[in-house]
Amino acid sequence: MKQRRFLSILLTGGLILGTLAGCVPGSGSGTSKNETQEAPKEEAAQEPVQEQETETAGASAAEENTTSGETQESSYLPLCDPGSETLSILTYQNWHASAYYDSEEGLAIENEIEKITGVNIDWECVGSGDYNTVAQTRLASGSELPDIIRIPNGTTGLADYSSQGLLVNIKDYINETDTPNLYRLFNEQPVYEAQATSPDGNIYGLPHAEFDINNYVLMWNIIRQDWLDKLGLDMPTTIDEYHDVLVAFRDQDPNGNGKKDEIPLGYQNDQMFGLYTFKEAFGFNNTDVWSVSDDGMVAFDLMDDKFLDCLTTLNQWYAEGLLSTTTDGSDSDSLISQDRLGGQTVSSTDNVIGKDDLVEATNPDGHYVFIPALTNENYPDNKPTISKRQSFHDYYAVTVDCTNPKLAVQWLDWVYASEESATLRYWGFEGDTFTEENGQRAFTDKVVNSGTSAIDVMRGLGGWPNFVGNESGEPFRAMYVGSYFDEAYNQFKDIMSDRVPIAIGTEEENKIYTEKWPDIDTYVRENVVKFITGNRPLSEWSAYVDTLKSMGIEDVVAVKQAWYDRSQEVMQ
Amino acid sequence: MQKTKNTKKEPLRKLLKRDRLLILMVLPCILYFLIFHYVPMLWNVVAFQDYNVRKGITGSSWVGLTHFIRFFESPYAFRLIRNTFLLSFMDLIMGFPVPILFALLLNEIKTNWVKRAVQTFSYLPHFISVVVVVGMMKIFLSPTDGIVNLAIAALGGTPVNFFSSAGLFRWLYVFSNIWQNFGWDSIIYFAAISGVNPELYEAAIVDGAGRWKKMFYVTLPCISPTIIVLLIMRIGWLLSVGFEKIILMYNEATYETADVISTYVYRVGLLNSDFSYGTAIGLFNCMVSLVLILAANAFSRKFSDTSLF
Repeated sequence: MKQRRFLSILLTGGLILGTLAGCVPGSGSGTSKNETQEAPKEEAAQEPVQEQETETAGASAAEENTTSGETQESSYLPLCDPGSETLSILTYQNWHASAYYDSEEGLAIENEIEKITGVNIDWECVGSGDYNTVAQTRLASGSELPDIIRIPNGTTGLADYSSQGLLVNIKDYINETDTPNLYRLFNEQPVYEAQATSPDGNIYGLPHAEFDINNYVLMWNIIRQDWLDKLGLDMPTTIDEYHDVLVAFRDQDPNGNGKKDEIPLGYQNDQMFGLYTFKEAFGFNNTDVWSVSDDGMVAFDLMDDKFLDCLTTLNQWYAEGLLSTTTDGSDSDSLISQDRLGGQTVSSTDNVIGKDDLVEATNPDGHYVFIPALTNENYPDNKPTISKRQSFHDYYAVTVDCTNPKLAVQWLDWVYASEESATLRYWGFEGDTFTEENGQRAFTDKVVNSGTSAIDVMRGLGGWPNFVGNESGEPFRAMYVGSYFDEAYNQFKDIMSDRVPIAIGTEEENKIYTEKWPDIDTYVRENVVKFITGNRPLSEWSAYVDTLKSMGIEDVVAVKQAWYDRSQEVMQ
Repeated sequence: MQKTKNTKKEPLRKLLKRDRLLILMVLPCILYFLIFHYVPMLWNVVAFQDYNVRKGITGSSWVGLTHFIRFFESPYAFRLIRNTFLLSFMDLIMGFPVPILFALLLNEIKTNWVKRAVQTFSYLPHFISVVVVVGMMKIFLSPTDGIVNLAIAALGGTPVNFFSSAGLFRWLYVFSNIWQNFGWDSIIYFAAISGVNPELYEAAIVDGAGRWKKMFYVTLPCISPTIIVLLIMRIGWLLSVGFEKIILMYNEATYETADVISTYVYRVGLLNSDFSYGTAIGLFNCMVSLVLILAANAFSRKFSDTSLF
């Protein structure tokens, strides 16, 4: 009897708890309005300046430095008695759909890293869409932090958390004997040290670096080559020719279904706002929102009067029905697979190849390629370039809760900066995933002819990791030998330009930046779209500029200028 | 009366012992509210500080109303407040009567299985995650191959780009909310209706009342206390518009009508880790909610006999 009563209470209690649990307001939803349907491949950049993860990326300068340092075969390894030490890491989950870093048995390349360093790793991985929210909340709570953490929000994030005393100054641990790889890297490639050094001279984190990989991965507008061929048109080189091509796409039924259902231009990253990249044809020298003049002055281009000229043109195109009216670009992929989309803004090289796969089902000839940097006879002296993606964003840092910071830095040293690690992470295992002949490396068929994309095969093994990024362009290119990558690289290598560098700011600079930039960013995005769609008349351009000034754009420009000047100084 | 006197005399310890199982049952609920709703309120002081994670709320410096002033001086303050109010009021005015009407009408159906089936189908959407709901909306309303636009095109109209139009955003938001929740919200009215004394209906029939009259003069007055309590509670939630849904739905083209206080707090406070500023705006939002709920309660007490407190 008594037992039954107890049971019923237990059950009721359980029921109540269950109900309560059901009441907890939706956790984890709504994180990702920006997530495109692009596979995990590339996230829509949330800010034009602070480009988000570009998992394809990778640039390891380490690659180049290696030849010299190969000799002293890792006398400092393993870093501890194998298995005696454990480090916890909070970082991105693998981009691979089913291979997880924190899985029970681990991935081959991680396990190899654990074997070589002798350090056990306690992985904590979060999908990229939720990562910033999770990491920021963890950091905000300020307690029970992992030993190593990927700091979100790039330089501002790093400055923010280091000024709050959450991060260890790892400079104290960097020297020739303990951390030979970092020591060498900083000496040979000062840009690394420059990008890692805070205004107070300390180093709180190692940047997620994507140097020469960004030479291969373009972010630019694409067009249907086969439609051009079909209509007997040449690849446009000027903005006027480009306009005529869009008109032809609209009117001449390039997909041949007898209906005028083609959308000449749709959007990828940054949605409709991404159209701003056409500014390169209107007297600006790049496709970023920021630019630096020859005499080193930083400017915010989207308030320059020349940009009004660009907006006027885009507004006209919109009125002519040349631009997709789906401002968030959410129907682009379905349009592509229906053989109806003539082009797309701000797409990356790896994406372009994916687009061909999408259109293949309805039209096997469908083929997207990049348009060249467009010129404009009204700006005859302008030499447009295409902005590369940001080479540095998130940082890998050691937190103050780490009980053995020296070991954590040594672990980072080997994984981040050593040649062996770069080979392991980006090439995999010799004989299995790659072969080497006369110093020429090549991926094996297992990687490049597996039926799925090469990078996916590597990621399945734990290669091309998200946990420590210092990525290399050479193996990236090797994965795509003979594909459109090479073609795009050869076409654009001379006209790609670096973005205005983002340096780690002082507290004052960061305060200005975090207080003013988000509002300005929202305002600019919103109004550029309004101007293009005609929801705000172009005659209000000067009111737009005035509002930007009253919002403090000049203060933000000054901060950017200071960052630029400082990074130039360290580079010298 | 007699009983209260008796219990008063009993020692607390004895009372606790007698009702221990009841207390045990209510404990999880009390703990939940304490831990997740009352304790976090202490952290509202962050709104008056330059909050530093490491120093915590005891060590951070006090800055008074700086963050509030910054918000009101921001070019977005007016728009955010306007959008929050408009969206909430539209949701309330259009969304609140629907479940009542639905319950009243469905109550008139006498075939039991029809009634049950309709009720079940009407509250099913409540269990769909908001992410999925927005995904479904985007698919149905897609300008290129959405079923709604295909229908519009088939009828000779021009396709409408629902998600890119600032003017349509509020309607999309409100109607999808109604669709998702009216069935669920009507459950409590069903319960209230089934509690109405059948003798009242019998008396009304004797007096010659038809169905409509019974509905208006018997059912509605009998469930009005429920309606008013729910209305007051709903007003308390007024300004906490469903921000997950808005974040999933909005884009640059619809910020004008879609950006509300909570989405702004999410962007600047959480994504940009500007905690003090985010807290200040959130606190302001709560103060307005409090004023609204007190006003609604006072109003209701004055014009009807029902009120929450």
